[in-house]
Amino acid sequence: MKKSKVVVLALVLFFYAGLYLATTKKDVCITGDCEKIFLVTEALRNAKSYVYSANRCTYRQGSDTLCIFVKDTTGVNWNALADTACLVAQDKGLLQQKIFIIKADHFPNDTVARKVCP
Amino acid sequence: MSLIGKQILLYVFLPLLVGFLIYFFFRPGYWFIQLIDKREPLIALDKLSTIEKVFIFSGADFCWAFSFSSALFLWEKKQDRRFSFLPILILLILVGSEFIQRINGSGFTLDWYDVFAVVIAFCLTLVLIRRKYEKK
Repeated sequence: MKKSKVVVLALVLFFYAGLYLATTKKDVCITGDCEKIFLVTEALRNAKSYVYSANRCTYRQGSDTLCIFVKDTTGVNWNALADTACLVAQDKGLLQQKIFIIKADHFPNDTVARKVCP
Repeated sequence: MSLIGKQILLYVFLPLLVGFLIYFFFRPGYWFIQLIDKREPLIALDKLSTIEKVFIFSGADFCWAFSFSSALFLWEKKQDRRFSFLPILILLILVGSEFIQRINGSGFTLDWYDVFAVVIAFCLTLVLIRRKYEKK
């Protein structure tokens, strides 16, 4: 195979790798709401191995919804997890949030608990 | 324009443009859109139907997967020989790129609709591009 063809292939792969990274990685979380969500995710993931992440459920600014994506695990009290998520969110400065616990492995995704935090 | 040029335009760049427009109009929270235009989404995502959400969230994945598969199949077309492992490699990259998001911390965005969309895109390119030039 000619060298130039390998270069073209490498360029194609680099281009799409960049595209993939750009569309996978969201905002850089260094300030504001995004940072708080990031901290909630970290805290929940450290405390519960079956938690994948916490995200805003919509992209609308000022949203008070928190979607907690979890692994489908038997024997877990999802309402208790919602309570924990409320406490963690409050600790990080997110008050009066609407929590949704969502099984991410399900197709379509399955909401297993909801809670409106005080 | 040569045939390969037209195919690159149609199968590689057009899907990329459509995918970009989906991000531009419906998902402006991404940093590369914020660089161009800082604004809020035009629509409230929680008020959309499932079909509309699938279009917005998985449509862009479908477009990039279609473009990626097409680029590699068109590259193969220009070679003197066929690579029997290429379709498997492309499929692995496409599906793997969705599943790898599971271990991506707070950036987790794995969605089964996305996986379905990239597989459909791959199958389409396989039929539209690879099968065609294999027959010739």
